[in-house]
Amino acid sequence: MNEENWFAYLDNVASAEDSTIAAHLKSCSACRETVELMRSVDQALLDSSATLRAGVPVGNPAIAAAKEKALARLGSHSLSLRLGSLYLLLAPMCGVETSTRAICAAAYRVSAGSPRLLEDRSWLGFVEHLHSIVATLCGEPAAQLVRERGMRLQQEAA
Amino acid sequence: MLEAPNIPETEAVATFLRDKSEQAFAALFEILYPKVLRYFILRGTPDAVAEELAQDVLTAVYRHSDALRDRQLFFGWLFRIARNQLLQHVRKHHRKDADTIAIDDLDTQSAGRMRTEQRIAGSFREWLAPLEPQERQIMMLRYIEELGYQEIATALNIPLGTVKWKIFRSKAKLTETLKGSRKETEPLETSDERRKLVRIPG
Repeated sequence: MNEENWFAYLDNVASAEDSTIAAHLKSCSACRETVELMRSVDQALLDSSATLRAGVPVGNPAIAAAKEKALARLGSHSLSLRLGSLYLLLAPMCGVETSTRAICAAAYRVSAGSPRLLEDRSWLGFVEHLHSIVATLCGEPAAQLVRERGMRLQQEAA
Repeated sequence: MLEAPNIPETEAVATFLRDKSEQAFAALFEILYPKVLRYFILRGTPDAVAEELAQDVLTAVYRHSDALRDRQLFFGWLFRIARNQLLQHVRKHHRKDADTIAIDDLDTQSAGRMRTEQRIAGSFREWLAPLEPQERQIMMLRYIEELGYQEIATALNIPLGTVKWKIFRSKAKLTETLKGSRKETEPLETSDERRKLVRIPG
């Protein structure tokens, strides 16, 4: 019998040597007493922690409010990922400076003020404005690619 | 608002890890939020901070679920994130090296504004009082968060053998407490012993 199997037995976790341990306990009163005491400790800990295990009582409205906050945070995270994706597409075609300016101008046109303040509901409008700005600055093929990527990102997020 | 169906915990975890959709996350959030909140409250964090930290933990779960290598250890991973968030919070607000602070002892600092759950925790804490801070942390994860050995090892980033040994050692220490409390409540057997306590007039 190894130590590990004893630990498991005392903690009520099944192990391969359970029957060997049980057989030993039949003939050894000292070990039997130890096991009995350990099990009593286990029970006392279970009893005294029962209410805590049931969880902190949180009302459904509180959970719903917390969930909405968390989802809003994830929404802004998802928007920044989408913006990053569009930027990575634009930068090799139009250059770093032009891409940054185009994205900022498109965000401004949907009243976001800055790409950071962009909201999920204004995403499609933002993509349309970006399309027209990129068409003017870098040509229609690049603008078309931007629109397609923007639409696809919106679908993926939904 | 995303409406989450009423589904069991393990199913919610499995669905989220498979789909990683906001819908699945919303369902998981409803199940896990009270547990994560309890984790922080029982470690002495004020309510408003506990709520904020619980949201941080769950959004981290959403963002970093790809980093979870073994799905069986989801809860160990979840409470590891919770522990890290708590350590970060402690570092920021106590301006000490967080490694020198026993998280488990934080609740003594908020004794004046204990809420019901912390008072209920009293008897459990009394039981754990003879243990060392790390042993108490392990026992709390075992008995309150109901984590398995391997999950505790993941949550605390310690070897599995250490977890097993510490649980065994903790219980062995607590048998002494149990023996002591049994002696106190044992009925006095002899009339001499009874007389020592009861004064008979005349």
